[in-house]
Amino acid sequence: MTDETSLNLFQQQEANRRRTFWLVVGFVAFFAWLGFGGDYIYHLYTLQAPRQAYHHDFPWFGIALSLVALATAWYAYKTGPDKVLWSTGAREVIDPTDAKEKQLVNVVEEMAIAAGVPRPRIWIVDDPDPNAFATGTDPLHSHIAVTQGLLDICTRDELQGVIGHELGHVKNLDVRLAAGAGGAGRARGAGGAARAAGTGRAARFCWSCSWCGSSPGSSPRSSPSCSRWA
Amino acid sequence: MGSLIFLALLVVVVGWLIGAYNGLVSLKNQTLNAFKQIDVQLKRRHDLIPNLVNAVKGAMDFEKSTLEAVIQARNQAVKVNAAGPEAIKQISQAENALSSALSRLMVVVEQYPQLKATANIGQLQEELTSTENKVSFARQLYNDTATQYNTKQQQFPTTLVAGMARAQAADLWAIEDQAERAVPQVDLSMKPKA
Repeated sequence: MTDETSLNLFQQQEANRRRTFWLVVGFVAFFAWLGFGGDYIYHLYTLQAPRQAYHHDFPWFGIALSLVALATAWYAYKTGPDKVLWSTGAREVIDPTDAKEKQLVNVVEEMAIAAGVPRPRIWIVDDPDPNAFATGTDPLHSHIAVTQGLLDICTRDELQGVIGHELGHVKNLDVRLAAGAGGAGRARGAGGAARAAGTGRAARFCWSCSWCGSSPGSSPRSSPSCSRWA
Repeated sequence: MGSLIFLALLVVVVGWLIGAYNGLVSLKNQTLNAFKQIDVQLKRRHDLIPNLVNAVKGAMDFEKSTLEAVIQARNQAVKVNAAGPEAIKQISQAENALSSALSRLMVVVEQYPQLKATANIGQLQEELTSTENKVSFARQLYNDTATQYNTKQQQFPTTLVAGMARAQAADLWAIEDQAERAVPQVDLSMKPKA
């Protein structure tokens, strides 16, 4: 494996595209394996049955489960970002009222210009812990959420650092991988054995890709509470 | 057999030609778009300044020259901007003059806490900071895109197609103000101040 830090932007985008692809392929393949495996076992079981009894010759289970897996993967990919936002109880900032919200909108607009991506939709999570995350499937459908706690303690420069970091996730397509992984992990309920593999992996992906915060752009005199969790 | 190899080579060469040509055209349009993005932000700045000036005018009767410098620089910038991308040198000169006039005004505003305390001024200051950032980030994006475009037209073998795609080197934004380019004097001797 290549060292992640040595990859440039396009290589990272490519790597994340590839990983998302294999994640979905693996997810569907697992369900197909369960279904067709079941078909095969049932087929062997009914092989010796009397002539007029039921013989399991057509792999219904496999086809049905594969279709279910495909539909689930597609649905999770499409709705994953909305689910993430919904689960955090975030509210969208459409018409900023107070000064802090206005500043957040301005900072996001600035960083979107710097990154050369469309402005993501902006959300605020009513949580005193300072944190931020990015979600979405591609730069055209992306969201950035920050907690109220982050808005309260960060200076303008610090906020800029955090938002810059989150927009990096959007541009690198980390958000797509996270959406795919989150979706696959959430859909694991359909297959019992997938649970163990799915949970750990998805949780780890979500943790490392979506939730993060740092303030590389902050000044040395930044408030210690904002730099601490960087 | 020979003609087959020739045909394969031809397909490869023509394919590359199309790819290189389209690549250049796409970069050219991206560069133009990035330039327009600067325009959008500059327009925003020009629209914002009259509001700012009106808000501080009453309280700053004694700083007339600073305000007048801002208004003058703004009007000059608006005039030059109408000329379009061909006048990039003059535009950047006028905008840089406006930037320094604005920063002088901001320094003055800082000196009057009761003026700063007015919510309206705080809001305008935030808008101005944001606009200044947007202008510089838009310029950065333009410079990055234009550099990519320039590099592509100069590199071999794409340079062979550059004439066909009517590619021309794009000018970059540069600092015109010599004062801004000067290296700041930093004293790291840690000597206690007398």
